[in-house]
Amino acid sequence: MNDSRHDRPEAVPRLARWLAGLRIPAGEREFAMGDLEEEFKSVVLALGVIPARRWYWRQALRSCFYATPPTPKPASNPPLPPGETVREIIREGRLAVRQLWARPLISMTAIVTFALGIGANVAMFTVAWPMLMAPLPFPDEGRLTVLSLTYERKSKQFRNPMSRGDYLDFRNASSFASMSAFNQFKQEMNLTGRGETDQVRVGFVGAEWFSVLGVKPVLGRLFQPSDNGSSSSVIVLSDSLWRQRFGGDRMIVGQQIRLDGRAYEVIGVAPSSAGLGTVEAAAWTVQPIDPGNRMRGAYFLGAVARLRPGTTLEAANQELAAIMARAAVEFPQTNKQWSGARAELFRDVTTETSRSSLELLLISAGLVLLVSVINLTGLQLSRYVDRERERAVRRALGATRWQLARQVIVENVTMAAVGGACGLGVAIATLQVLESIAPSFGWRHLVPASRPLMTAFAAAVTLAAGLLAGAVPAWRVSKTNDTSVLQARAATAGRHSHRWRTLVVAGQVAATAVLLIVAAMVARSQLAVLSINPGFDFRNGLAADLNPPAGKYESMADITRFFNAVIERVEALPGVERACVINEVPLDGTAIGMTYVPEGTTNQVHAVPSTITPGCVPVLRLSLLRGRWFTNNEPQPSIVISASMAKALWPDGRDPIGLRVHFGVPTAPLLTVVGVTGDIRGGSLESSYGQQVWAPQSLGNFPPTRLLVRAAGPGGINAEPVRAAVRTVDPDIALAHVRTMDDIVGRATSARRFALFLLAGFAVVAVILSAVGIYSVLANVVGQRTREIGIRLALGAHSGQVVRLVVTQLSLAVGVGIVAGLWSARALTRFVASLLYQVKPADPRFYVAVAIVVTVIAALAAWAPTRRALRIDPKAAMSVE
Amino acid sequence: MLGEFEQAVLFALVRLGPEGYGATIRREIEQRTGRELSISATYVTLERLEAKGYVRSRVGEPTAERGGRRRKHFALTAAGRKALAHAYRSFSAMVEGLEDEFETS
Repeated sequence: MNDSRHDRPEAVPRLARWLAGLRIPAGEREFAMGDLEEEFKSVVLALGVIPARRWYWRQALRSCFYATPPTPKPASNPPLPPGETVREIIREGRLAVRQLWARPLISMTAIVTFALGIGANVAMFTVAWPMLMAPLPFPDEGRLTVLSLTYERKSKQFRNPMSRGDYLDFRNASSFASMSAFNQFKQEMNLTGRGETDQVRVGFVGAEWFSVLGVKPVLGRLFQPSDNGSSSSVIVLSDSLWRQRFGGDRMIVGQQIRLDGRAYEVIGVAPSSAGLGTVEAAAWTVQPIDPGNRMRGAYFLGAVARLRPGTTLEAANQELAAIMARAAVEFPQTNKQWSGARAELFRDVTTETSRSSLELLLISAGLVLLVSVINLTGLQLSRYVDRERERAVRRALGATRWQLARQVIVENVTMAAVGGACGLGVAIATLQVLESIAPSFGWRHLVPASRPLMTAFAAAVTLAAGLLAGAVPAWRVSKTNDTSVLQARAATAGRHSHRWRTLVVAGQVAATAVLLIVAAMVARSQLAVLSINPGFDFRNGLAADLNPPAGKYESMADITRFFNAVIERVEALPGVERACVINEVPLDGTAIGMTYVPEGTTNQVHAVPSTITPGCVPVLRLSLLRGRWFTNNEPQPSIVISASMAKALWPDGRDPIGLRVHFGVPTAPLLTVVGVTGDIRGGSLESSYGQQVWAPQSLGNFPPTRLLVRAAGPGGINAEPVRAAVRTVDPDIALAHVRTMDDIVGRATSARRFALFLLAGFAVVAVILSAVGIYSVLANVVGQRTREIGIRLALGAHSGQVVRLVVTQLSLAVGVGIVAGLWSARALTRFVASLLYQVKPADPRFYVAVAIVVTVIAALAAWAPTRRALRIDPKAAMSVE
Repeated sequence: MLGEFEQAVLFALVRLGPEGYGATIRREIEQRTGRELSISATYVTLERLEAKGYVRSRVGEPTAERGGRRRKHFALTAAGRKALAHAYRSFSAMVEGLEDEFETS
């Protein structure tokens, strides 16, 4: 056959050949490779090509990894037995502590640096760990889900509560082993009869709620399915309410308490965390679910459900989608507006808002630690040359490289330990501060991790920091070249330390730059949010919760009379301009949506309804664009709508005055539009959702629950007279949660403010550490090159040249650091995104500004050493040995 | 002082004579001791032995078999022979009478 392939012998695998040759002494390579090829060919003949290739690979790998035959070592120090090693380490530790005492300034710097870096991380960890990692107080949380309806607005999906009909549909779904509904609206009820009247937040939950969540009672029992009957008035107290209000009285079970005038029997006490994420309340009573009541159109229920074992979340969601699709066909009037329903893991829903902020803060704390470690590495390397002789002597006396390296590491870990202990103290102090200011940031649930966990983390971080800080110096030390050092004079900085210095400075600058950019972006966002015009104006006023109990105030007329009386009394107080009541204070509550259907159509338009008394118009300085506001006596049910709502209801732009809409479904009563007002930011400052409907009390749909009082002058309102005025109308009703608009806005922006507070703190620490680091690196350079500078000065160099000598390397390092930092900041933007508002992560202005700031800081840090360099006396310098 | 591998290589050279080269030495050791020796370790040892003066080397002609590469042959020197003999005598002296302890299988 003429096929040349068969004539040519199989070739040696090329990669293996390269590997084999790596560890063969260069002079012998030709011969060794020839040997291998020769043997390869005989193996091919003996066993075949594939076994031969395998043999060759084995030979190559072995040649690569087992290249040194063991040789008898020259007489050296025998390895010490293990116990001796530990004693050596302890001795080195004690020596390290003595050396810390001997050089107080350097030690203090190192310890403080460690303390700041470690402390920041421990504090952040203690705060973030429970939020991110701690298990929910419910067993088997991996199967626990939260259900909601969904709708789409501007290509984003939002959650919405469901109606009774929807819930009963879902309850039949086979994907879920158990399900319970809960009322999204918690009620503030007036607790009377035992001491002072108090307002207590009460949640309404399905009878199976506790068992679906898997909560066990602290005392007594929790709800059972038999409690579902609407006649039973049973209540479960939360642990904190039980302790604070009832003194932990173990006899409370079976007793009655009065809420809003109605008697409830206390059947048990549940842990306060039972409501986490769903119905956070001080007490819970039963939300009756009547299987016969499948009303749709009123959306107020949430649901928790456990997945059936073996069912995935995706499968459950598919089933929900099918159910919703069927409902949309069967009940188009109510269900067409929803894009579907969603089941999500409980943990995902409850930690959603805080997760990315926390991740960002953890990263920032990590960056601070990085700066600390780099700082310390730099400090160590600077002293490297000074201690080179000492090490060389030790080496000559028989210390191995490993022992020298170990000494450095022990030194660093010791310093880290001292710093870490201080850092733990710093962290604890920081936590105290955080806990006290957290409420003003709206973080009511700041539950720090337990002390043992915090200490364990601190120990781990300390050890890591010490090892990291010591790693590079230890490695440098283990490569000391003995004889040349002992013979030579202290040389000027070699090429290696040049490179390390650049890295040290660049690293610190980079980390600092990242922190500064992130902090700047978040700060800018905060400013932007605070400057948003909310569409209403409620300065110099206060808001408070006011809930006439349903038992005592049955009819709309009763409630209206009560509120009118309160308003009258409050307006009579000195200093009060106007007062009014509203269902939810804008920016301060859950904005629940309702549907409205324009007359003559079946379009469902979504809006947030508010119930107000006419006084709210001046109290909130609401605008009027067309028509008029309603009065207390309207011939027909009248509403005022926002401009966006008008456009949504009648997109053709016709005049909405006089037109009518159905409330909820096309068969519901009609409401007449009598006026158009401007959009307000009701839900949050950042959302521009503006579809709102304003209705008078008489319509009765969302009863007012908040009292708003506006002051006549800039001074604000004193709460006490208002409380007294309310008491004169009805002593059984308490005014609760008094707050000002500033409090409300503060809480609305709390997450960002808190993050900003911490970020700014981290950035400041990083700036200080970097400045110190740059200063010490430069001081060291000047110190080492004193002789050289002295010579140059003596030879007539002028100051510019000296400065350049000192500063060139620094400039390069700072430049590299800035570039690296800016680039890294871009990589971090996904974490920052949730905190940003109207700030584009790629906006070049931030990067330029931070680059300038960092350069200025570096220049300031470099100023003192540079000045010292310029002041070097050439004669003194040249006599330095 | 002769290391373990150095001894093995020298013994192999005794058997192989002046025609011994890397591949044959390595194979000889592998077959007799059952221990796998990498080619690189073999040449490092040979280099060391040559530096100590216990072996000398001679380079042969390139062959097609070896992809055009030359072969390097090694042979014992007198000094090498003396060192090996010395090692052998020390070993025998120490081992005398203890064979039963160490004879396995």
